[in-house]
Amino acid sequence: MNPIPANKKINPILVFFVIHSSQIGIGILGFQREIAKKAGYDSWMAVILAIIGAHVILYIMFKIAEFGKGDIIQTHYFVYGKIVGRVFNIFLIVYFVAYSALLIRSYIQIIQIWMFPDLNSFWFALALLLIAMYFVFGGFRTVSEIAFFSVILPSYLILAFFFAIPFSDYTDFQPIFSHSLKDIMWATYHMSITIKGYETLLLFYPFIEKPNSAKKWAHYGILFSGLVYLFIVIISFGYYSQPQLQHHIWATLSIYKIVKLPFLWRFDYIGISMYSLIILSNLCLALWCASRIMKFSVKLKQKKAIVVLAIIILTTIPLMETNLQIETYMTMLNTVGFSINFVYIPLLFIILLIVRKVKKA
Amino acid sequence: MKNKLLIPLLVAFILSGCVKSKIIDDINVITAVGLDFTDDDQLEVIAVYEDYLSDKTVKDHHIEITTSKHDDILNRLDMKASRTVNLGNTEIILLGRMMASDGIFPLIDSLQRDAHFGKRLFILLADGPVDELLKGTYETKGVADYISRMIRHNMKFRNLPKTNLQIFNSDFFQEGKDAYIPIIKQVSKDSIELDGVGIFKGEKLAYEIPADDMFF
Repeated sequence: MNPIPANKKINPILVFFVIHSSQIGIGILGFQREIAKKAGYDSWMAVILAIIGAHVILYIMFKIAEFGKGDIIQTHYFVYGKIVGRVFNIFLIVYFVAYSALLIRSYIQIIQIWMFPDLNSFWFALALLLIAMYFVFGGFRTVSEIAFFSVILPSYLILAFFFAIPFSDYTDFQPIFSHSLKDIMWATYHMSITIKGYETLLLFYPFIEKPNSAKKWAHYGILFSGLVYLFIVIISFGYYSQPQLQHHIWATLSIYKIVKLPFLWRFDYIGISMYSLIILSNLCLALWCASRIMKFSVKLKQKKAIVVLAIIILTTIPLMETNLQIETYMTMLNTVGFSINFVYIPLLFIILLIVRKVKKA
Repeated sequence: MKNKLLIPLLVAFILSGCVKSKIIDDINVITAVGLDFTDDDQLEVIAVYEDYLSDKTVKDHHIEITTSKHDDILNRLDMKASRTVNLGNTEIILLGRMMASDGIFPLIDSLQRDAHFGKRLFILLADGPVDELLKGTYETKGVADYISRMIRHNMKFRNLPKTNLQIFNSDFFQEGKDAYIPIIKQVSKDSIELDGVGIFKGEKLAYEIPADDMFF
């Protein structure tokens, strides 16, 4: 692998934005229902536990990148050899492509339910993919800058949550510790799925200018996402009663419905439109990751790989029609994503350590 | 490369914009909805939309339908309306006594499912016929504005507990809590009074606090 030229590398501070924006995706719109299903009002603890877990995994990822060959593609070749390593890489491509398709389809579903019931999913997906392709053609620098804007520009949305406080009842949180550890762990599992996305670090690690100084920014990124999630959880558990929360699929979006300003009676339309930027940055990152792996495992030029991947994503989107199909697909993909982050990556680290010892000896 | 991309780009952006538009002059913006059951177990719906006159007053218009409980109300309302009916700006939902005592879960469920409704709308109980109350002429800004202003200032300064769709829903589903609903009564053709608070047990109206005992 050729070393990355310095003008294509990114500033360590941008790692904060890439990690943070990769964690805030479609999941933030409706994760409250999933985590509260079993752990009820105690599931705010699950957010803290999941964030601690994410920090541990991030630490392991940095170690893999240091001990391995920079990114996960070369690490796979190093650990498993040419053929088996390629199988693992292709599996990762499939994962990122599936993730992109889910991202676009879920966002289209939200638009269809909240704003335009007759939005054509194919044409909208094409429009979104064309913008994403345009950014990804610019290389990882552009992708990281989009991530920066997707954090800064929609950040005012956080103010809208304060409108919910007059209608909230925070005494509902008491008594705390009223759920078993098993329930809280179940909620932690769902929370870990919501905050995944930072596994992309294993792919863009070679693009970081000073990897050692980027470490703290990556950890700050996860910490900041954790604070955002914790804030939303506390606001929404006060705002909704627990059985009511089970009736809301997109609880975060429903909070926007209470916002009423003299010049703007319904805020949810602004919220949904603003989320397109967040979705776009997630899509760019996933598309870039998939095309990057493709470059090294299928021997295709990255630009051609992007076009091929976009066509694959575009063909899968109209296949998901009903809510049930999307839900099933999402559950399946979430299990896979969780296994990659919390089972496969620690396992890879252990295998890597063993292989290193063997090859040295 | 650039020229090849331009055509799909244009097509994608133009065609994904092909959605149903809602131009404010071409829709009937519903501001108040009254719901009740008739004696022969039919659903009676009265929807109010406003007409803004040149002397800055508002004239109410009504669409009334009586239909089976399983019917598509929006479709029925559209059949009687001059322009497409839109429920996005509904400020009050007025329930009749028969509906409130029969069970309101289907209503609450669809109100919170439907993304059109705001969370600040008021659910109220009418003491007396719903249609007569909504058909009265109250001041100059229309019935929905009159009633919602009345509820709002009583909530803020007087004895009415804080309420709106969100608080009602939250209490309705919460364990160990019951939902409450303000009761309004038509006094004459041009005045309404606040007449107490009704309390639900489960999905049925179970108890009423008269206006004299509302002090808290």
